[in-house]
Amino acid sequence: MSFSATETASPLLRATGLAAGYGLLQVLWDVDIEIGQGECVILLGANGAGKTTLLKALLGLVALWHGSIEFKGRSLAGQRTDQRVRQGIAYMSEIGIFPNLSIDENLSLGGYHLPKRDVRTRASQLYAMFPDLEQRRGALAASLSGGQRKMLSLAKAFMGGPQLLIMDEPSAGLSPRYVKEVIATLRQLREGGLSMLIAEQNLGFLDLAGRVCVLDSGRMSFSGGRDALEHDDILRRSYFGLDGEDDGRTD
Amino acid sequence: MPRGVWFSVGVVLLFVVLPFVYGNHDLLFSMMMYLVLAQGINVLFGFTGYLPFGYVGFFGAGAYGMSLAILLLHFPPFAALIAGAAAAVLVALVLAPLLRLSGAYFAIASLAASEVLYYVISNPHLTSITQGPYGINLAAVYDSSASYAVMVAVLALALGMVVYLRNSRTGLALQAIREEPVSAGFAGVNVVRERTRAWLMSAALAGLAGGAYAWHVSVFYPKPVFDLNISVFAIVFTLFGGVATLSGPVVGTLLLYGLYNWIGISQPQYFQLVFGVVIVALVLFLPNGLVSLLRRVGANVP
Repeated sequence: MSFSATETASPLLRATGLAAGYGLLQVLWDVDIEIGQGECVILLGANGAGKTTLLKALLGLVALWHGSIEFKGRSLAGQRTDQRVRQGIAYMSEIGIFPNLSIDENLSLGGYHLPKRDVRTRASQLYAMFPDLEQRRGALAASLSGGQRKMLSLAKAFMGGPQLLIMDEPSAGLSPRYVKEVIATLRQLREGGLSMLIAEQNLGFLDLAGRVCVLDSGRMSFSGGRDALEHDDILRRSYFGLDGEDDGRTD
Repeated sequence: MPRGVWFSVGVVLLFVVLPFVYGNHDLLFSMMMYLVLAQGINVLFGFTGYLPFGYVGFFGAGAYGMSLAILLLHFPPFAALIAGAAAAVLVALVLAPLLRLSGAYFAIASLAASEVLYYVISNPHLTSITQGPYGINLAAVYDSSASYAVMVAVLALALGMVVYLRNSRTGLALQAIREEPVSAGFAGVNVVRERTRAWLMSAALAGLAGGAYAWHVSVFYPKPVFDLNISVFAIVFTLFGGVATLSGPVVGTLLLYGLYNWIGISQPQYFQLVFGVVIVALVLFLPNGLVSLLRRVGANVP
């Protein structure tokens, strides 16, 4: 069973009936997801629910078995990751940065597909947002702390001027102080009109959400506003691992 | 002026001037040949992380492409040299699917491919085309100063290629592929296209070096132009100096090939010993090569 968002004029990204997996193992089953212009969607789900697989499928890192993805009204079928990135989808994950390249080089790779002039302007804008990074712009990314790396990874993802930022657990491995900083930065980006899809375990990110989606064993079990979520049993069961009463849920 | 231009000009001028003051032109020629091959390894391994043990296959393809263009198609030497490079690039295109492999698998597969090429070319049944095991004789077009000049030009091209990669976004993209191919895709880098391009550029350099070598020696058997030692030397020289830099492969080649010619031929047993110790010490203490020492003390090396 799947839910779709409230109909907007034309969503930025619309994925329908996604099925994907690895080898014989099917991970995603008939997943629908939509992200509107300027909308921030938080994707929740227990470990192994298929969050990362869904994000990778959107980026073309995992091949689809079925289903279709449209970005800005055009199908992404057959497009490589770098082509999707060029169209305005950015991805931020654990492995997003290059430790043996300098911070400057990392950032300019983030804007690899932009004209050279724009790279410089954008880099200086981003350095203004991340003063920690500017101080060490010539240093290797490997020398940054975990929190600074996350910031670099975010700055790099944002460098190319994406319309949709897809993030896989931006809070992983961060101290609470940095998590707050990341959330504050994301809020700033969202106010600038950036659409986001964030897979998270940290409920602090729910403050950013316009809408929340819950993946449960590879199926989208909930999609709706934050308020609805708080009263929803599915979430309590699938995410917090609380055993609810049997309500006829089928697997 | 992009970084490294003056260094490159200096190296090229050195080989323009040296023949007038130093008599052993064959040594200077081989030195340039290894400088080109080391930079070719650098383009591929230093920037994209693929270590081609079969690199000599492109060298041999270049030597044979050049020679057969002269013998069978009656090309003039300069056009034949381009044909040699084209032969190497053609081989690289055919072998491009090897880039799907990584690490040791790629190294071994490329080695096997160069052996296959050797056995095809030296096959007695192909004597009417490739001269098979009897080798090539280009004595009719032999010209030691023209072939020397050509190698100087190829050296300039090789250095220019690395200067470009060191200063361009293409080079940065290649390094991103070396570091983390999947993340390079997130940066909008077309991973397959960029790494194939580096592979072809690297092959073209080896092909040009092979063609110039064929012209310079003009009489050769298939074995020496498909000799695995050529790959090994070029790889060790590059690693010794430092990959992904311009100066590293140059410094590594000048020092180690100099050492080889100093004691390697007269006292090969001592050379093997010194060579072995140098390689072990390098891996243990300076994995990023000799020029990383200078970097460590803050020098800005090209």
